[in-house]
Amino acid sequence: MFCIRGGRRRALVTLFALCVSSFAHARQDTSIEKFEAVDPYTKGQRELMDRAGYVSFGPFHWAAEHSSEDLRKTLDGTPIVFIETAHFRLASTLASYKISEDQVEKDLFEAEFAALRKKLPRVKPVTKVDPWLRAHLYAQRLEAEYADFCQRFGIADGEFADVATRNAQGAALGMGPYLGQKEKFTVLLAQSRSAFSRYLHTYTGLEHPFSYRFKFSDGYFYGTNFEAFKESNRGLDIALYTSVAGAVVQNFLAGFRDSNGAVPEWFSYGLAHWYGRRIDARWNEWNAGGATNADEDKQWMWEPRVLGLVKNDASVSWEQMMHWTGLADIKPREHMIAWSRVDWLMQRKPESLHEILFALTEPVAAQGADREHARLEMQTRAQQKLWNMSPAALDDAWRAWVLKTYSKK
Amino acid sequence: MLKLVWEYPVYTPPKDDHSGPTVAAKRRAALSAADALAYIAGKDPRPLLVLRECVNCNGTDDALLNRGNEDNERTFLLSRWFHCVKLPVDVLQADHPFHNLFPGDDPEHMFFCAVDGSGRIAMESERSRVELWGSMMQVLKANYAKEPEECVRKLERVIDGFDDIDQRITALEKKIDDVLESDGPESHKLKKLQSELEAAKRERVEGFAAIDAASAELKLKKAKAAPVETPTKRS
Repeated sequence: MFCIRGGRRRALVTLFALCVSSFAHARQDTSIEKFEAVDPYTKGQRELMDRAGYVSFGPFHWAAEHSSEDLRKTLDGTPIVFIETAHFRLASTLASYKISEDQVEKDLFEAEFAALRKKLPRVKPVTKVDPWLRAHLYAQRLEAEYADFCQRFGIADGEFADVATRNAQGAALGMGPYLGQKEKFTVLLAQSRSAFSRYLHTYTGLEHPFSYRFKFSDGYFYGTNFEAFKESNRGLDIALYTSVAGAVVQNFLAGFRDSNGAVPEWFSYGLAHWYGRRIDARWNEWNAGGATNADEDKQWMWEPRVLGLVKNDASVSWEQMMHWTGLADIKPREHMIAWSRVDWLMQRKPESLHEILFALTEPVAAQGADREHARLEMQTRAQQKLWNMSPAALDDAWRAWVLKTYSKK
Repeated sequence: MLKLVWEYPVYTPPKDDHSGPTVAAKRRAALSAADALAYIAGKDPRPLLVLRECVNCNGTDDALLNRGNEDNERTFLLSRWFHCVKLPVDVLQADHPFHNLFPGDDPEHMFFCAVDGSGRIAMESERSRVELWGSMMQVLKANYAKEPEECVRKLERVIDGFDDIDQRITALEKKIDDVLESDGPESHKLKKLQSELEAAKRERVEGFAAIDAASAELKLKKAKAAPVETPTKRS
């Protein structure tokens, strides 16, 4: 499922189509869609649910002190689908989606329908994806990403089993079986901003128009709304998926070993871009470009841009990157550099990724300025242990790789 | 800047102190109209614009805005002096906590009113711009100390000069990226572009300050001594 998609010609076609469709969106029917009460693909049959890897369609514990039913009540009449898988609890209010004319998206759906049909034989290739099918696809996507993350970083089945015993032996694995979290990762995909906002405000006290990642006492939450994507001319499901893929892997990292978000910002954002761009690089311009009109369609092609920055000695240094303490510290073009450095690490010695992940997620107990100091020390220790190289030497090695690997086009 | 800033209140009942061994689950019940209004108003003293979502608009702003973004600037500007609240579809259910803000069999789609519920003006979604703006102005005149029209004209003037600034900033940032990627940080072009970008960003900050200043010119009248009964039925 994870492979680099997209291309210049396809992108231009899509971007033109989006400009045209933005007019159509203004006139489309926005009526609330009725969701079928029972999943039409499993009919709630245990055997089919097991085949799909589902634990439940709810009610179930959601996060901290609230359940899926609390969430349903909070959304006050918004139709919703719940799916609990092995590692996620998903709530989706996403409405039916007509697959666009974009060939990349069409290819994605075709491949995903085929994969899903092996588990749920009632799934047929369609041009309009109903709310239940859309939720099934996202459940499949989330579990695929979890499996991919574990496979790439060498996390064995059971590595987080019995964390209490292993912690007592000095392992510092966190508080539970989900990469160190007690509870499964929660994901809310809302069709409308109002539904997303009601949830976010009620359970986190926060307001955000687009998306949010949040640490509850027992696990990590990510939520977003499709309305925000449509408003910014990104109303394709593949654009939403690209964003979800990036945010979810950030939650894996932030929650890993319950490290109190110790993971360095460059690794978190770099890996988010890395996962997002493997879905569709066109929609991962976020904070490094961002225009989706045809004149600026090259913006999302990061390899030649990174090559240009490296050749002209205009990239942020590794040392500077280590000092980032949050998103506000990262300039748009620096997202490309973080992505590229992670890209290099992911390809350099894949067998060392397990060690890299553990070294960069040592739990940090300190708060405030002490916390940032501890995060920096953790990175310095990791560099010595993993590569026995200074930041400047790492920079040189990465630059050599970029010059050898990336091309101008 | 030109957007509606909504709040989406969700009712959380106060926690009861209980000392017994069992607690009965509380049934959901409608608050009185006055209590519901007080809850959604919170501490915001501005007059309210309350919109209920319906099965047709489904959380969109279609009920308030012209589709296709034509002719909406004045609506956006006037909304700055309202506390805009969006309520869910279920508000039509008799036991919804905010139901008494939209009672009856065929309630309106939205209403404007003072923070205490007085001067309520009901609106349907299918109405003319003139009617909508007229109602908004009526509520603003009743609640603010100064004639709003002059502030609106000031805001329009600031916004006119402000129109292309974001595009200029985006274009300059892109040019700077291009120069860095093609010529490097020592390029002679860079200094000029960076200074233009800084100027554009300053202009943006000044524009926002001018908008805030123009908005702040309209000050609320002093609060009335006692709340006025809302015209809706009570539970």
